[in-house]
Amino acid sequence: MIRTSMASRIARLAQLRVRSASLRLADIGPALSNKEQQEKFLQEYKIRSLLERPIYYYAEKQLPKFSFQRLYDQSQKLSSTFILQNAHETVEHLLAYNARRLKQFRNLPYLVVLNPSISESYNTYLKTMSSLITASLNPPTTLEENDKFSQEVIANFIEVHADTLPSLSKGFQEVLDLLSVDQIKDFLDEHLRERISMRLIAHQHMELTRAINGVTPFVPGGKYNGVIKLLHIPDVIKKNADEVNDIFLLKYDQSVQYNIDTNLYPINYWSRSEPELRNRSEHDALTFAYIEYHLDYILKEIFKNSFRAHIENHVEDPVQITISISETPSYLELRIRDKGKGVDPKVLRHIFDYSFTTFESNEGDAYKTLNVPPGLAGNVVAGMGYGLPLSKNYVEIFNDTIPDEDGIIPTTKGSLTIQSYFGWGTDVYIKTVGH
Amino acid sequence: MLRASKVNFSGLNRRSIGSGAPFLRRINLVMPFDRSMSSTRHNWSSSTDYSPITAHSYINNDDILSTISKREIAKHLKNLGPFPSYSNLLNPQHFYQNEVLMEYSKKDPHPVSLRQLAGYGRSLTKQKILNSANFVRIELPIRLAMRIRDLQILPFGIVNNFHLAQIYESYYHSFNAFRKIPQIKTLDQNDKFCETLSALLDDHFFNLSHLMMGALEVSILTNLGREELDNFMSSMIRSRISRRVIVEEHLSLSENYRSNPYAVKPPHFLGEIFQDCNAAKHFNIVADTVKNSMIPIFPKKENMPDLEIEGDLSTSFPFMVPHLHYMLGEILRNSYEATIKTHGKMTTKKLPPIKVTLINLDKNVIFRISDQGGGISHDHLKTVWSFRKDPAGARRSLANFHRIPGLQLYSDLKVTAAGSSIVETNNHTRHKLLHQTSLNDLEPTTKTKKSTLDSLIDRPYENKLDLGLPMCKVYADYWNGDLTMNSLEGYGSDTSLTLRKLGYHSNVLQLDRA
Repeated sequence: MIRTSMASRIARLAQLRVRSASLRLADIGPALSNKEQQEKFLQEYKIRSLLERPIYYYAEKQLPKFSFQRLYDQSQKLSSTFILQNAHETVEHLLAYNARRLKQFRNLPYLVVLNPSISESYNTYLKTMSSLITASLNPPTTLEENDKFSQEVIANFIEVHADTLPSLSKGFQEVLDLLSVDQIKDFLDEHLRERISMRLIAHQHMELTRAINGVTPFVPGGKYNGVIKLLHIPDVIKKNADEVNDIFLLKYDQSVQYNIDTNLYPINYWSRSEPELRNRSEHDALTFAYIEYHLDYILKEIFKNSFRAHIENHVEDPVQITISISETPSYLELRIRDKGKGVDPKVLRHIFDYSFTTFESNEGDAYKTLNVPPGLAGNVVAGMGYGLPLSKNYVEIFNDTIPDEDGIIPTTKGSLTIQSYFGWGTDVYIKTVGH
Repeated sequence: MLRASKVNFSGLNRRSIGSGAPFLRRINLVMPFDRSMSSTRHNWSSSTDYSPITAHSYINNDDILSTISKREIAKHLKNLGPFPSYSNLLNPQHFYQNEVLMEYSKKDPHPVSLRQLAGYGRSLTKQKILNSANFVRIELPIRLAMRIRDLQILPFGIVNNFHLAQIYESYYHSFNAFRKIPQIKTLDQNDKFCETLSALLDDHFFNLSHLMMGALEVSILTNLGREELDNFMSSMIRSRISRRVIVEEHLSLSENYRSNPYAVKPPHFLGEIFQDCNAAKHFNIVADTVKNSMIPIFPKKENMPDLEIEGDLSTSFPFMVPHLHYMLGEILRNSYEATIKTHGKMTTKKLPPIKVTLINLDKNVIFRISDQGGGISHDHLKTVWSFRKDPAGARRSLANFHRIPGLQLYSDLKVTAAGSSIVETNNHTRHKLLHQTSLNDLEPTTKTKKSTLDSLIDRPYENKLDLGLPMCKVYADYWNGDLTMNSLEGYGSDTSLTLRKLGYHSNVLQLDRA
């Protein structure tokens, strides 16, 4: 008798698996007295309700609007005390952005967030929120602490969020029937913009830290201590074109030629006065103050498209890149001209949409859609479908017509536009302002 | 010792509201397990002109920005993720496995009419029992799938709430268990099926309490709109009622067939679960229960308001007794409570009576319950039917909820070693099968476990949940009745409950709203 009941008990145990409750702070335990029960439920409720409140609190915080001017200000104010204040501010701002992302994720339908790719992104933001909250408890008070803070908290933040986009793209592809196209577009627009802002704040602090520590040249009161640096544009172009060519060598065993040309003598066409023909050195004329990693990203995306078009259509001619820079008024204009047979007008209409809009791309198309989702085309070169929309965002985030803090609307507007000549090639125009 | 008594549940800090930060809810938190931590804190709230505009000035030590709170938050924040560690169901594969449910949710549920229920009951045959069993077997997953879809559409932040997530899991678990049951072809299979059904009903006190607590917690965080919340709660509860009615009907059919296979019921028989109810009698029964529950706050039972019943005292109609008792109980409870509160301290004489008018019509019965309990304001009257409470009220109700004895917050969702959900059946002998059902009422002497409604009806006065009227309304709606309330502020309130006479409508009535 005993043996059978033991056996049946073991068999039952083998069959049943009672889930353990690890969320609870206390064990389930034996039956509690009423008062104990109530207190236990209360404690657990307080913890749970506590968790959501920082999200609401930080998400509601006002954030200063982004601008070049602000970045320049920080660079000019840089000192060993300012960097500490900046550390504190950076944490607070990052918390606010992070909280907003979390809030938006939590607004998506339940099933959508259960998608593993989307939940991966969401969980990443939970992790960084956690680490930022911890960091906010001990803001750095010395330069050494700031260095540690910058390399651990800030660098970690950047790294952890660096590769979230392919996953997000895959996720949204899978939930297409659960959300409307507009809902997805709105979410992604806001998400990508805020992501840019977040990373910019983080990068700025890292750059300022490197400057104050002497890792990069520090000019007290100078404008280029932070993330905005004076860039030699042809060098940046070469760097990125070569990187894309490296990928192409691996993939297609070919690379693409490119030429850079420019107007060496800038023409001040805003002024009624005689154009000045200053004999500036080539080097001077082609520098522009901008954020290098932004420019890197934009150029890489465009080169990927242009170069691929050349390769797939067996075009021998080089891709032509034209630079036009002016100091007053300040602008940088680039034109990337390829002969890759152009983009079908049907495709062109959706060129800045996110990858989930489906449309034809036959084998014969010279200019395959950029926004092919991962897994479908499968190649890294095509990116994961957010390349052009994101590039556009990078340009626009400093160049919109919304008045800045002082109520001034910039007269010139940055933009990314594409003009395609179907059957011949495509011109891509990048315009951005500086100060 | 826990310092829970220090918790201030009156919640809202008026100062912070007036200062233009309505989103800030101040709860004075006391975290007993942190007593070992020192209270030194960096005081970074002192702003310099470099600080951005914040609401820092509203926050003081006890709030979420304190060191202690922040540490706790940072530690536990991952629990806001979608895949809790305790859950068998909620994992990355769930999204893909959900395809099955999407298929089910596209199917239409078959509505159940009273005629159908009655027809089954008139003379039972083996085939009818099997038909009924398969009907239940197919309907339950479809209806569960619809409710699960409802949950899946709500914002993640809402369903991620501890209670609603429990419900999601519980429903999904039942869905999985039931959709795998093969066709029922023999009476033995039906017996086994009945055991499973009975166990399913067992789970549902758990679900109802979680649903209500979820509604309360969501009210506190105010992240779901009033109408949305009400619609959601109503459809969940309505669906729950309908599922249980279907299940209980089948269980009682099977039971009757077993005990008396050849019985033939009279032609107006409406089904096992309905009883002929004499209105006056049931009012008196319920009033007595309510009075007993009020004794703690008003010991002199003999001075409690009388129930004066006028109108057609012979009014009688077929209905489900537990539902009737629940509705009458909530209404009477409100009246008694209001009268006692208003007059209890003012006089030592008998309190003014509660007058019930019974109106017996061909198609309906109408009950008007009038009290002199001081009435309620018209603003309050507008929101009295809503599941969404103001945060202070919600916290009160939640606290009271936590006091309900034997409240089970964690379910035991069983899975096989392979991971598929099963509904575990204990060794229920047949006559115990009806224990979890509302039919339990009929045999008070053999009652051992309480049904959900019983527990709620019996609860002591202090555990005021404030969800009584919204719940009643759902029940009334389910039976195509009506529940309204009028008030004379300063004097008293009148509640009007209309119930359709089911027999009259048995041809037409589409009983059931999935």
